[in-house]
Amino acid sequence: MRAPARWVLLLVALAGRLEAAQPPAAPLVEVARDGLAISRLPAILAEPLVRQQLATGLTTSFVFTATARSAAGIKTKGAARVDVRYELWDEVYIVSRIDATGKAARVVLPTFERLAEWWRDARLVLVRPPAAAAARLLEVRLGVLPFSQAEQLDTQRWFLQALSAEKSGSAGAVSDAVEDQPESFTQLIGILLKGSIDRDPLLEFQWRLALAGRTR
Amino acid sequence: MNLRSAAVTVAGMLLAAGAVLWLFERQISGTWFRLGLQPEIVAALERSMADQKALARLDPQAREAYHARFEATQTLLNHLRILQHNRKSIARRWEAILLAAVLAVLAAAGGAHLLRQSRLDARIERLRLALVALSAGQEELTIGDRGRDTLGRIAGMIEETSRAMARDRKRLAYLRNLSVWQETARRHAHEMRTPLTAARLELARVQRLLEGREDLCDARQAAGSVDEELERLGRFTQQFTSFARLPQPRQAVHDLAGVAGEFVGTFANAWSNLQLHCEPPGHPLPAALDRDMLRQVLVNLCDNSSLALRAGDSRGEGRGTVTLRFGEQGRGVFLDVTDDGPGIPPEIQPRVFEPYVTTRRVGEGMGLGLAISKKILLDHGGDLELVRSSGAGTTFRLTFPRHVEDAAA
Repeated sequence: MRAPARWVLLLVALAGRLEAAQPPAAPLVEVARDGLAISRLPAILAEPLVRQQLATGLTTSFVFTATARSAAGIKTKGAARVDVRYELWDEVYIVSRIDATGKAARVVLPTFERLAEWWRDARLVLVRPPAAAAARLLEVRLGVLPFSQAEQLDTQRWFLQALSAEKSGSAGAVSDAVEDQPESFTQLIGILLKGSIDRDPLLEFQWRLALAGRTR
Repeated sequence: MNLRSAAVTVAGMLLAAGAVLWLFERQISGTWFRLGLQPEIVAALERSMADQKALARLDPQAREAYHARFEATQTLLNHLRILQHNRKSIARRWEAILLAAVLAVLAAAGGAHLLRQSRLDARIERLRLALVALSAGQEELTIGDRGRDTLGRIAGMIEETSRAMARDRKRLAYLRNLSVWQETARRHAHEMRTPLTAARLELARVQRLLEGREDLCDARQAAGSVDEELERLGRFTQQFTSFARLPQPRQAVHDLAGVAGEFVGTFANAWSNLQLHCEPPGHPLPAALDRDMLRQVLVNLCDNSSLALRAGDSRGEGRGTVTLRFGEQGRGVFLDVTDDGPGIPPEIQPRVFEPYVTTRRVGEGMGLGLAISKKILLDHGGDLELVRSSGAGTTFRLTFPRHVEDAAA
């Protein structure tokens, strides 16, 4: 193969990689009576990392945070969250959602395809009125957290107990006393270490959306 | 402190600590972590969960039990997955804890080292100042370092040296002063002896001429009086001579208590108003001494006690006891001679060993006994000291260097 052809192929491959690294399409934003809402959520469920995470049985949290800016430069913040947990025993997806309106909902979906449909049709209010009406620009961030806060705390307790020299009972049993009364250097080390068990996002995306149109 | 060597030491400690930290983290905690999160373990737990589900389908009656096991396994699996997710941050935190622990240990060790070094420097400075003072002639130094280490022992040696130097200086000053007095006495004795001899010869001639002359009875009596005075003058001259020509002691190893005991036995009735008493120590006190000279010293002291007791009694019959006691002090052995007489007047006590210092009336003593006694003890390498003197009595201490067989060999 001649050298110019090799360079062309290399550039094409690089362009393909760049395309793959592109963030998913931004959600659709609308100003409604109940506030600034997003719909047609970005298609990230099909991302291999997300799909793999969903299959673990841990609660995957999709956290939307929004900052609305008015023409006068006033900032208003809002948020919404969708928790998805695949129930390994029953093989169903349990989905919980809550948005800026404070309304929470829980649905059980039998397949991944139904989950994808639900995701596509979901509508989440991020900013409540009256700030929503004055907003001209909306910054939306999406963080995919690999597990819930309850699972994080549970693991921290389990970790502390596993490190404890005075451990008794099964690894799954958790005693509050272990956490409340550090009696040894090992427990001190455990307390210091357990703080490093955190919910670092698997993926993060950010969009800047003009309310007249849509921009990235 | 040498900054360069300190920097090298600190760098070495940090390097060693870093190596230990790396070894510990990589080879021990890293291995433990990898072992706990082995993918095979996760896969085995997943298979176990699948098996529980399969078993529940095959045995619906035990479905709840299988479900419970499934849940427990899933909880454990969730924990492992969450740990796996945080593996890097846990490792970083663990490394930070180890690093902080190592740094804390290093800081504590460094602080302790600095503290010890500063104390060491202060002690060395005190020793240096003491040596400077010692070289400047300061006596009786007190450094106050009671450490049991090398520096403490050196401090003790410096203090001991200063005390020894002070003793030697006093001894030297005393001997120098005494030698002046001895030379004076020698000259006096020499100057007196020739005219005294001539006067005695002339007096003897006069006495021969007066023999049988009953009419010159008064002249004979006067010649007799002159003879007595010349005799007394001769004794004084002899004392001057004795003081001027004190011989060196001929030392041999004796038991101090034994020699003193013999003295008490021999001289028990030598003083009519004295009772001699000896309290032997129960074990030998070997010392290199001249028995005759020690006896001379004891006779001098007993003479003084006897005369003082008589002088203290209006009828001149004062009686008392002289007690000899023994002991050991440092590298010496001592003999305390204590009487129960009226004591030495306080104004005399500081000069009691100076020649010609006496409490007796003129003509009754020259005040050379204690000076001669002290000279004898100093020539032995020991000393004669006035320990105490009051209305209840007086104690003199005779100190001799202890004789040690090995040292003698």
